[in-house]
Amino acid sequence: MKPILIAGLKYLLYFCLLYGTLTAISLIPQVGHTLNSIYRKPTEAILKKTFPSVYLHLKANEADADIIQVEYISQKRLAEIRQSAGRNTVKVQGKFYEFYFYNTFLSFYIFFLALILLSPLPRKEMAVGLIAGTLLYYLFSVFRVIMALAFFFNNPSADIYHASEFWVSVIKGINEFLTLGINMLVVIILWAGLVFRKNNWRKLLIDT
Amino acid sequence: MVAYVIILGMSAKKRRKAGKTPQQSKRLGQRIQAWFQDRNPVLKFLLGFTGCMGAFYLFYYSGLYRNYLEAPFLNAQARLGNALLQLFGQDTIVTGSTIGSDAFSVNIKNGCDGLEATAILVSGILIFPVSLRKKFTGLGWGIPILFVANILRIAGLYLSGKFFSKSVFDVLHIQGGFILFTLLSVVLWFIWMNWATKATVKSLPS
Repeated sequence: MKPILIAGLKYLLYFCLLYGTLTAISLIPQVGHTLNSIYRKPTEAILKKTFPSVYLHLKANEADADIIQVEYISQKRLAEIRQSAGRNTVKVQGKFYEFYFYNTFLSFYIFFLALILLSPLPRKEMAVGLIAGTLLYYLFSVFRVIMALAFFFNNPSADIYHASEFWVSVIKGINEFLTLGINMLVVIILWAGLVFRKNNWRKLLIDT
Repeated sequence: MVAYVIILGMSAKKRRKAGKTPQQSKRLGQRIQAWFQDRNPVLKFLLGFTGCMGAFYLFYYSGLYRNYLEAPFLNAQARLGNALLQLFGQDTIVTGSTIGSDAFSVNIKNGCDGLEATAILVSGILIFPVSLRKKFTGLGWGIPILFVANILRIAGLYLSGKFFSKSVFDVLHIQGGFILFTLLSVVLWFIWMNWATKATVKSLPS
């Protein structure tokens, strides 16, 4: 077999091993729940800023580390409940919206992690790529969540935001476009953009 | 780039307040500029690649593909997957884009058709600056390999669903199937790029 083909198959094998190991670790419930919790904290803060008309918080599903529950109630409704109760602190049962943590973030982040770790880069460059890539991919995943929630909150069933028909159709279109394939594409573009440079792309092409 | 513009736009007083001397600001600006220069050809390549993928998605979501091409294409994949499974002694039948038996069934949907991964390979080859002959060679090998690999993936998913639990099927569907299949496309692209630039690469210092 030609050396290029052998190198390609070897890379695929190393990738399968690393990606398989990382995925297996991520599927351990305790690990999944911990990562889910780490993801929820900053995401909740961003979502609160993005949707000021909604009182929301992100909850774990104890039975399944894959699920993130968004418990929400409109600020307007909350104000009404506070007023009728005559006090500021009230206990309210919100409604729930769920999304999948692994498909939204973790599975594709592990893909990115494996790609970066298998790239023959100096340690410092690898660390910079990992940090920058983590941040950028995280922001992309939060953008997906925001778009999904923006569509949901504009739905008559949630009845919180009332954007014009045009904007609702734009948000719907974006949601339909943000498939798993787009996730994958974003990861590949991030990896290539962070790893390859004018001086190293030919060498990396051979080494990778 | 934004940080660079903002810092250069600051007055000397504001720069001091922000804790940056003009030299430091210049250094940061130069570093950002150097970062872009260093990645200039790669970023241009990625821009072209993204444009090609954009064109693919325009076609993929168009009425032409959705209304006329999608159903026959998915049906053809289901028939081929079914033929492969029958070769291995499975008693399966095809209905539309579904391969099924009494025990289990898989429905091939958008995203499982392997077209996105194929588009990644095609875009990467089309945008790479080599001769047309080398591009056609790459496309002539790459597209059939991915097509066959996707049929194997579909048959494999049916078998995993039939013989293992639903959670195993789910993991293989996304992790095993989708991600590894896309990686196969990237690896093929790399193998082709290595082959296509072999003459130039040979002259590089080791």
